[in-house]
Amino acid sequence: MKNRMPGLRFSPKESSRTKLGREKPINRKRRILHVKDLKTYFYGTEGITKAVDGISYEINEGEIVGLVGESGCGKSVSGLSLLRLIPNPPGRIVGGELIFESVYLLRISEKQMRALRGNKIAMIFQEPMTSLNPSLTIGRQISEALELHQNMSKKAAWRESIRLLELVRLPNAEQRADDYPHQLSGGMRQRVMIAMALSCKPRLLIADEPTTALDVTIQAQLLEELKGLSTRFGTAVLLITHNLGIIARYAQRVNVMYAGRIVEAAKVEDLYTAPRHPYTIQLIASVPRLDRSDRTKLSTIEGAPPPLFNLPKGCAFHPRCSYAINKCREERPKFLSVGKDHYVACWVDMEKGK
Amino acid sequence: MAEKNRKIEQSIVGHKHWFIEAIIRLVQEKHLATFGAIIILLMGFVAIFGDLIAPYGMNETHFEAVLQPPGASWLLGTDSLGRDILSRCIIGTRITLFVGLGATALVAMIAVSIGIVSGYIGGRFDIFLQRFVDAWMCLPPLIILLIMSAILGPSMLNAIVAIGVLLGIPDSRIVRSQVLMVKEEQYVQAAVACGCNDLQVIIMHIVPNVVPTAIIVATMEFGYCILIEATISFLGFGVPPPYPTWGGMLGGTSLYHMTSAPWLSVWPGLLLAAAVFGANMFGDGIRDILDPQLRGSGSARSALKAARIKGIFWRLKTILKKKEN
Amino acid sequence: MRAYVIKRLLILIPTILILSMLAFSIIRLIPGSAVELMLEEHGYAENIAELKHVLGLDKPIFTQYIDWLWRALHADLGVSLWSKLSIIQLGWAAFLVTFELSVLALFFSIFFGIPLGVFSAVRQDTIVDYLARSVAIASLSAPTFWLGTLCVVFFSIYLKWTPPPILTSFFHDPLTNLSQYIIPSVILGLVFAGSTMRMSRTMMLEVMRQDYIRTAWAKGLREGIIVSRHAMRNALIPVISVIGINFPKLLGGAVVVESIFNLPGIGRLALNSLNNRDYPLVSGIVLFLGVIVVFVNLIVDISYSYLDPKIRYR
Repeated sequence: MKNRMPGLRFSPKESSRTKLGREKPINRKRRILHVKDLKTYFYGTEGITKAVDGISYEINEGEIVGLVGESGCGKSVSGLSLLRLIPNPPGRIVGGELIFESVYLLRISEKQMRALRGNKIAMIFQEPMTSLNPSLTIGRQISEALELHQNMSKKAAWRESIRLLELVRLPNAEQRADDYPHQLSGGMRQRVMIAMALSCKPRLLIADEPTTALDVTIQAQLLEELKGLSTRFGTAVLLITHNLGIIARYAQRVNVMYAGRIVEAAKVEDLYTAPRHPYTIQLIASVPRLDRSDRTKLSTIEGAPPPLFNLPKGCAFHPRCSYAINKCREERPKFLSVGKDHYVACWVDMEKGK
Repeated sequence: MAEKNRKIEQSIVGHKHWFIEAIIRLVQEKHLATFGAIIILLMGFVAIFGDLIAPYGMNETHFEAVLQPPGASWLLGTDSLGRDILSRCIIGTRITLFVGLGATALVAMIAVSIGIVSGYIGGRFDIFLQRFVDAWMCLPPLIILLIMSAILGPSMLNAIVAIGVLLGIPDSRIVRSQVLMVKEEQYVQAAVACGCNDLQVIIMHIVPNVVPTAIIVATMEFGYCILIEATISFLGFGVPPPYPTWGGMLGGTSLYHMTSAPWLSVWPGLLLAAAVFGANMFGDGIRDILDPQLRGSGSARSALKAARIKGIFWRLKTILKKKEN
Repeated sequence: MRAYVIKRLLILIPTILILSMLAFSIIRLIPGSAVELMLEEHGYAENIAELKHVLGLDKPIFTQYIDWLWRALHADLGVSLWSKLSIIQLGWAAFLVTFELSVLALFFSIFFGIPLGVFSAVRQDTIVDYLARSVAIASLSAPTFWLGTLCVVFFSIYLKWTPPPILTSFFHDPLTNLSQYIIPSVILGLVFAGSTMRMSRTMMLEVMRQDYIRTAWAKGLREGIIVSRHAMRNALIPVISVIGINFPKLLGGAVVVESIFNLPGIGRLALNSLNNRDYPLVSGIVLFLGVIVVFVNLIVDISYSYLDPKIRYR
């Protein structure tokens, strides 16, 4: 298919609205990212912190896949690992494969990796207040990536960055492009981050807690726009968050992470209606709900997540699990399918399932 | 009651006094700083027992052996009056450290006094005093020091006073900013609300919080004090002739003899460099360790604060109880 | 930003005023014994009474100060007792020498210290880092006068070189002029090179840990661009203000280098005038240098506020 508009790549099976206003589904058969048994460890004075201890998942074209888990479970580290941005003295990616559009990310050179960063794979971070360089104008920070990856001239890149700012609904984009980050509010800065990340039309966007630091009202706006943009450009999104509500609303599939491992992976509807892993069950149960009576006690999960440098033997969740059996304490559960596109890592569930 | 407060603090924070902890951490983590501390301690040892170590007297002249190169009987050679350089260097350690430590102590005292007074009183007094400090900081330091030496007269004590005043006034800025921060803390406001007068607040709350800052100032300036004393002695001001100071040994008439006797120019300078190096390294290390503690390493500091507030509320309660009865 | 500049200029006035009082007080603070020595050793006047009149000590302090200040505002700082020349003239001629010396020293310390510090930070904990830090610390600790002395001694022994007695003017013959200044300015600048290097290194380390640098990496930029375009701007702004604070030390510290290398700068002038008990000249020099430092600080502050976008665009 010929490009009718320069600079905008069409995916052959782009979503479009049918006459009835319903969206035609994107072909999700094409796999953008395949994470296989990724392991990222940090070597420190207390021991080896196994931040990511063998996780596997896939992301298909145009999908929004959630990665949900408590603070400290390793989800941010797994996001950084995808871009190979783990600081080397303490940390290292020690195992697994990352296959991005048939490129083995862990085997290519740093130079080749750099060509992908910001270009085919982009990332946006949690803290918009500190993630933008205070000494450069926002227009410059966006045009930088364009000049580098798309080989644009300074002028063309500048014009494109203004266009991108308009795209993310930044008011007065042309004047604002000359502003410095401290002149913008948090929500606006995050929009700039999004514009920066999407500037080169990446195939994959890693969004690490993009709205956690923002007001709830802005959160909704921003996520809607993110979803819209990803649909429009056909960008797959890895949405990393601890907020189950966001996942429910915006993601199609979700991976639940605990102590550096994925314990359950399913389609969003399936996860919320029929969670299988004890951790997921308690997690969903702990979300306070408006439709329950005032008197019900807030349910919590007993205990605390294990320190990542001293994980328990076997299943990482067994010390807090009310269903734990002997096998849970000995062997780490395998990640197996329990239904259509639904995987769980739990011995007890296996037993029950049978 | 202070006992009770301290016991509450210790039980919450759960470790030894911060001073001891700082020293332990220094030895464990900062090796360069420990090395510096050892150098200074060694020099201190030499300073104290100098008379016993030095082979000759500090002003013992041997006119038959003028300007001898380093050799068997004169390990570092002799100067233009036949005095043994090694002995003079050893005795010089005493002067250097004495003036260095004295000046540093004075710097800390002046900085703390001016900083507390200016910061605590605030208002127009503070503004005026700060303009004075501004002007003082614009004066060329060495020249002012020379002038002060000239006006006060050459003597060791005057050198200490001159250096102390010169460096203490600008450093009061650092103390003052710390005082301003502490003044805004809730436990100070609580103390004032309890009816403590200014002096009590200063002694009980401001001074303890300013002590780490004072230590930081002292460690910063110790090396510089040594260096600047040597410089003014070199130029002929500062500590007067009978006492051998390393700076003086390098300056004055020695310069003319140095072309024919280069060993005169090496040793005192080397010792100075070593002393300043040791002082700087030690100061750096102490600063690195104390500073994060100052800035608030989260839990420890807020626990301490909580303990202090607890102490105040306890006092409030007793006062109120007394009023009831 | 304009409001900031105006505020700074207003603060200037009381500072200069107090400075003038401090400089002036030097003459009044001379102990009587020193005045007698002035008479005995140098014969600046016929008798004590006349000397006191020349120094203005017979007038009440306030009147003398106003007189002095008034004349100072008209660029008349009086006459040197020793050489009978106008203090302003003496001071200005000497200052030009010290200025060139200090500027060269500053250049040396910046062009040596900053790149070394940045490189050291970017290659933290490698051999280069340790070496660079050791060199920086050594240059910080070694006394300037010692290094200068060693220089002169060993150059004269091995290279048969002595400090030239007469200085050629820069406008006359730039190359010879620079060659005469280069060794003293390196010696003078060494201390500041060391502290600039350490400061740059610390600031760079702090900046490289920041989130926005991580964003730059995520965009696929290479290390050189990240360091030069993203990190250095943010790291070096505080370094500039430290340079501004150190400039008075440079001007003052020139005393030593000037006496060793025989440069007729303002430091040596002050030293000689102190030895000659020429207190009016001393007082004039202090005022002169103080005012210059005040203006240098002003320029540094304004540049700082210009360079930091957070202050420039409020």
